[in-house]
Amino acid sequence: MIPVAGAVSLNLSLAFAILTLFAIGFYIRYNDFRLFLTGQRLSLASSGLSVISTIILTNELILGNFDLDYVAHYTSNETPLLYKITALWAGQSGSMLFWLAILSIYAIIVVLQNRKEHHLLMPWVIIVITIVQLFFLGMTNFVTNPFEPTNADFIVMNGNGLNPLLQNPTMAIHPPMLYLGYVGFTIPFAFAIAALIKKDASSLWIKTIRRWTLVTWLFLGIGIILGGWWAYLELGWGGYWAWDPVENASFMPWLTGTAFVHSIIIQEKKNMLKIWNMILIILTFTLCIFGTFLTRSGVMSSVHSFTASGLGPLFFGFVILILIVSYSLLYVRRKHFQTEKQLESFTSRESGFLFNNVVFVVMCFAVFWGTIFPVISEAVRGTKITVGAPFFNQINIPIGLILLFLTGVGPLLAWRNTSKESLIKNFTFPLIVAFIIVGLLLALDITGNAMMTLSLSGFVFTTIVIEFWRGIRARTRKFDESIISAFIKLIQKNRSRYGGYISHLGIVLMFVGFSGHAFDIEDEWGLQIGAKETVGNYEIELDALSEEERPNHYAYIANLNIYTSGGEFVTDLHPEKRIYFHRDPNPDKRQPHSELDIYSTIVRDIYSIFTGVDPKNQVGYFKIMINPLVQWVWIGSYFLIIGTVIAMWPVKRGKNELE
Amino acid sequence: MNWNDAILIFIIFVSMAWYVIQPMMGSPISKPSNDENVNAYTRQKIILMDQIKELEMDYEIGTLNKNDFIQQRNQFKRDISTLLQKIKSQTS
Repeated sequence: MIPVAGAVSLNLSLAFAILTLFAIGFYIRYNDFRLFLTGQRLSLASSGLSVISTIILTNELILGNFDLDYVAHYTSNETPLLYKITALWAGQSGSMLFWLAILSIYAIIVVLQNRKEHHLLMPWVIIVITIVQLFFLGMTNFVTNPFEPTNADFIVMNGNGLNPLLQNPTMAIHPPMLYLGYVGFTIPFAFAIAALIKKDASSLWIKTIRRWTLVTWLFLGIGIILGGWWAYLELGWGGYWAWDPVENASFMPWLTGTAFVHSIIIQEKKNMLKIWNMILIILTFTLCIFGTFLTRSGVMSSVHSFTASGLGPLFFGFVILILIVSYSLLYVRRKHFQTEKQLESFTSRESGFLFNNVVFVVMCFAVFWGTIFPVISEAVRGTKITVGAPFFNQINIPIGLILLFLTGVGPLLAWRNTSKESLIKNFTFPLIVAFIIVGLLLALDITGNAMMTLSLSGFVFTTIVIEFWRGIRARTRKFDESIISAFIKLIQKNRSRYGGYISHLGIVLMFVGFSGHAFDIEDEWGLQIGAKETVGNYEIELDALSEEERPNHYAYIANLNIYTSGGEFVTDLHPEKRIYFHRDPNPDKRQPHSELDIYSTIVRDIYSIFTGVDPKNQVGYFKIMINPLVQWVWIGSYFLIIGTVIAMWPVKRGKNELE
Repeated sequence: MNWNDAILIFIIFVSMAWYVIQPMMGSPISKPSNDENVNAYTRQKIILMDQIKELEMDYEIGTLNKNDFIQQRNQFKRDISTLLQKIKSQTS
C-alpha cells in the first residue's frame, strides 16, 4: 500500500506545482492577494508531497521491499541499515527524487520565511522555484520513477546490494552535502530572476539571499571536501583531487559561487557590480544543473559517477533553456542594473574584490574547458582526447597562486582608495615575512610551485594575523579589555569580517597542504610474512596475514609494522583486501576492493594499500605512499567551515535598530 | 490498490485541497503595500547602520584615513535620516 501512496504523492505534487503557476500567474494578472496566498499554499503543498514521497521511498529501502525495482537494485538483505538509507541517492531515480526533496524543503523555508516580506519579488521567486521543481517532478514522474515495480515474473527474495565503493561513512554524508549545495543555489537564482523581472536593483534582496548563498556555498564546499576525503580514504590512489569530470562539476559552481559570495558584498555596501552579480548567480545555478548533468548523464567517465542514463539530453536542454531565458532577460533589463558609481582607484578594496572575481571566473573557464574538451574533440574529430591532471595543474596552479595572493591583499586595502603611505605601512611586514620564507626554502633547496605556495601562504597568514592584531589592539584601547576578551568580542561584533578572515586562514592551511604533494614518495612490492621493504625513511614489515568472513564481504587483513630507518617502531597498519558478494557462485560478480589504512600526522601520512594477495604462499602485495602535509588540507577545511559559520551567523538586533 | 489505500489517498488529497483553496473563501484583498515599504526602509536602515559600524572599525584599525572616514560616515548618516523620514511618513 505505502509505495502506491509514494507514487500518488509524486503525481499530486506535480499537479499542485502546475496549479501554483496558475494561481501566482493569475495573481500577477489580476492583483487579487487571495490568489497569491493560494499560490503560496499550493507551493507548500506541492513541496510537502515531494518530501512525503521521498520519506516513503526511504522507508521502502529500509524495509527492503524488493517489489520496487529501485530497492531491488540498490539494497540487499545484507546491506547495513546506514547504507540502505544512503541507497536513496545511489541510483538515478532515487537521486532525482532526493534533489527534488531538498529543493522542496528549501522552497518551504523560503515561502514561510518571506510570507510578510518581498511582496513584489516573492510571486516570481515562487514561480522560478516551481519551474525548477517541475523539471524534477517531470523526471521522477515520467522518465525515471523510483516507485516502478520490479519487472520480474517471480518473487524477488534479495536485491543486488549497494556498490562497495559507496559503503563508506563519508559517502553517507558527501552526496547530501553536495546536493544541498547544488540545489540551494536555486534560491539566490530565483531571487535574481525575480529582481530582473521586477527591475529591482536595490540591495535589499541581496541582503536576504546573502545568508542563503553562504549556507549553500558552505554545503557545496563541505561536499567537495568530503568527496576529496572519500577519494583519499577509499579509492586507493593516494590523492584527494584528480581533476575528474565529476569533481570538476562540483568545483565550477563553487568557484563562481565564491566569486558571487564576495561580489555581493560590493553590491550590498556600494551598490556596484549589479549586472556582474546577475551574471555570476545565473552562471552558478546553470553550472549546478550542468554538474548534475555531468554526474548523471554518463557523458563523462568518472570514478565518482555511479549511474549512466539517457537523462543527458533532458538536462542539457534544461541548461540551455536556463542560459537563454536568463541572459536574454538580463540583456533586456541591463539599463536598470547599470551602476552610476565607478571604481575610484586601482588600489581600493572594490578593485581587490573585482580582481578576485575575474580570477575565479577565469579559473572556472579553464576547468570548464578542460572538462568538456573530450566531448568537443569527439564531436569535432571523432576521437575522444582526454585532458589529464597535468593540463589542469599547469593552468590552475598559477591562477590559484594569484587567488592566494589576492586573499592577502584584499583586507589590507581600504574602501574607495588606499593611500601610498597606507600601502607601504600595510604591506611591508607581510612582504618581509614572505621573502624570509623564500630565503629559508631556497636554503633547503625547495623551489618552484612549492616555494611560491609556501611563501604566499606566509604572506597571507601574516596579513590575517595583522588584521586580528589591529582589531584586538583597537578594542583593548577603546574598551580596556584583556587580549582574549577583545579577541572574542572582535569576532562576535564583526562576524562577517572576522569569520571571513578565519575562512581565509583555512584556505591558507589548505594551500600549505597542497604544497606537500610536491614531496610525495611511493613504492610497491610483494611481501612474505616477516619480510621488510623500505620507502623513504621508513621500513615496512609484513607481520601477519589473516582472513575473516563478514556479513557482506570476505576480508584478507594484513598487519604491517612500520619502523623508521633507524629501526624505531612507529605504528602498525591494517589494510584489507575485501571481496564483496563473495558468496555469489558466479566469480565475475564478486567485487574485489582494497580497504586502506593510513597513519596520519601533521607532518606526513603513511598510506598503505593492500593491492593483492596470494593466500597459498602467504604473500601480500602492497603499495605504500608517504604523503606529506595532507592533514593540513583537512585542518584548513575545518577553519573554512568554522569561519563561514561565524560569518553567516545571525546578528541579534537591538530594539532601537529595528525601530 | 485496495479500499484502505484509496481512502487514505483521498483524505490526503481533500485536506490538501481544503488547505490551498481556503484563502479564496474570503472576499478579495489587495496586498499590504505600506507594511512592505516600511519593512524595506527598515532593512535598508539596518544595512546602512552596519556599514557605519564597519566604517568605524576600519578607521580604528587604521585601514581608513580620517578624511574618508568623516566624509563616508556623514553620507551614511544623511542616507539614514532620509530613510527615517520616509518611515515616519509611511507610518503616520
